[in-house]
Amino acid sequence: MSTLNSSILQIKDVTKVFKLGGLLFGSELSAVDHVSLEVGREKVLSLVGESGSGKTTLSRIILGLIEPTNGQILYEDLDIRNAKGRQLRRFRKEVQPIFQNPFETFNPFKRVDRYLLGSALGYKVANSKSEARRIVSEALDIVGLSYTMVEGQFPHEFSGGELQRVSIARALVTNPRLLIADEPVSMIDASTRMGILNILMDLRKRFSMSIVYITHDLDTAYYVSDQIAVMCRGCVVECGDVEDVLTDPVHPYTQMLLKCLPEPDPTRRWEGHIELAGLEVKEYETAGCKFSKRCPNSEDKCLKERPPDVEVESRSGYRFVKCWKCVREGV
Amino acid sequence: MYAGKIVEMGPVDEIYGEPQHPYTKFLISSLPKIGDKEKKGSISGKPPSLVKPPAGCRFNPRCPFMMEVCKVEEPVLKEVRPDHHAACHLLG
Repeated sequence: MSTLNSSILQIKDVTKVFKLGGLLFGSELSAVDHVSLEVGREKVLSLVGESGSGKTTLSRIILGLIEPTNGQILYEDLDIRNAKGRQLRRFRKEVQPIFQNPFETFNPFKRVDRYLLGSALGYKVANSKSEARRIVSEALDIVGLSYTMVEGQFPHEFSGGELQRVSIARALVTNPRLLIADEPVSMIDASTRMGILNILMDLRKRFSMSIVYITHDLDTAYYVSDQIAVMCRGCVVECGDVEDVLTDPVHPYTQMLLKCLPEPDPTRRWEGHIELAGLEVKEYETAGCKFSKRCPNSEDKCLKERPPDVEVESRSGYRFVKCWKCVREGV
Repeated sequence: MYAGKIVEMGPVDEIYGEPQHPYTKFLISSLPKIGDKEKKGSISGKPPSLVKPPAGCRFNPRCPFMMEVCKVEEPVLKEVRPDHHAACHLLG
């Protein structure tokens, strides 16, 4: 996708296999299937796909919360599977998560300011309580809150939007370089959603952060990101510049996702239809293209053989699509 | 609805096409859309306390068009077009 120096994170041929069922007769499911991606420095990469496409598993692998069955995650030059001691602490400080539900991020019985101060002291970004307080207030300022607004408050005393701001501030306490934001606005109401996304975009500009934005919402993905990777049942089926991929999709799966978007314009009624696959697991087990059972262009080969990555001509950098039709007909 | 009150009500096409109440306008203009990279704003401030809602129009602390009357008098739903009602002092 780009040269070594320009990326902060490299995902190299990562696979995660989960075992299903019993010990003897169980089967296996590759929740993440040979995924290779790079996150550019100061860039936002969106991971999009339906529920069950492997986005969250991949984000947890990046964070080191799940160990991949195969493959490598390189943060800068650090292989995070082998990171120990000081290197691991550095990784945990520099790569911070933001989760979907802020009410689950925080302990409901702990005052939010205590939690934030604890993070500053625990990560050793502050050596004293007063220094921790200064760092926490700075982080809260960045997200448009102040220390006095959170002092002594419990999580339930905030609205969802406010608490999500607090959880972004929590992530900022350690001065991270890379944020992994897993559906950060899908629980936030429409009137405050854009405020949260604007904060993320500001962080990138002001502090040169890189962001992995995980979502099923293509409109917000378009709004925040530079690059986008479309996932289907564990595979990245299309990847490239967000403008290219979302305004001129090549993979039938991306095309279907875009067709399924209802528009907030009643004169243009939604005409897409969703093809429900009988069983999610069946698609995962497909030997060929994971989308072949739902794809309108599907041929015998699509069901049997895994399609290769086909490079697509692009105005703005590397772009690929995993599709036999593109091999047959060219792109 | 805003803070427990209906602020606008009418045919779907008109609400989306020509929203009348400032709150509805904000909600619709803040929706992101593929093909539009322009920065979208969100409504400043936060939803009010329903235990002690603001006097007058409940949206007044967040409304950029707020007038004196909005702080004292609660607007009622008025028919701005056939079957399209909105509650805002700006609307006549």
